[in-house]
Amino acid sequence: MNFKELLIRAKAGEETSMIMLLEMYKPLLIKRAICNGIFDEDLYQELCITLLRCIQVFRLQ
Amino acid sequence: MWQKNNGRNEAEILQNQFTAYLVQAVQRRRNEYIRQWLRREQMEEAVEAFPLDMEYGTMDDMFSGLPLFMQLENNALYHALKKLNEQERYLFFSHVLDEKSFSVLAAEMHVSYKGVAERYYRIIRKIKKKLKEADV
Repeated sequence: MNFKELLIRAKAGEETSMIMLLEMYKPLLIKRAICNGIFDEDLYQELCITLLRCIQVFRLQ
Repeated sequence: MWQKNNGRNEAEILQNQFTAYLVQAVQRRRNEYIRQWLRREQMEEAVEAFPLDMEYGTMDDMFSGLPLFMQLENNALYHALKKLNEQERYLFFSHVLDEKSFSVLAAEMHVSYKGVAERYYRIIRKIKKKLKEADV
């Protein structure tokens, strides 16, 4: 399954695809959730929500 | 499971686009979050500022001032005082309880004597208005 299919499935609301994307981008989210050298759990949660929203909002040409 | 993305085929290009999109969104959310956090911090500081200032006064000020505020029998007055913002409350209490003069307060707050007086009387008017509202 390539990225496009994965994204389309996640957009359709398929949970496993969403989780796969979340796992895939986890390192990026964790990196951005570090605040003043401390991992901020709340911020991490916010960023996870941002990812899920991005999946919904991102437009496929 | 995931191979290196060289941006060669359609799916890889799409993935790059999505990643860029996500990075942008995440960065914005992060900035927003930090801004909110800073604002919260500032507000907490402002709340703490008043009791700290009390310590600089004499012991009498502390004891005569504190219980009075806590034991305000008049609920309406308490609510009226609560509605004031931090600076207004500080000004009001320092003038009434700490008996600081307008000129001292003016120097403290970096405004003119007249400015402080005006603010003080505006606060008084505000409190009176609130009390009147509560009476009705």
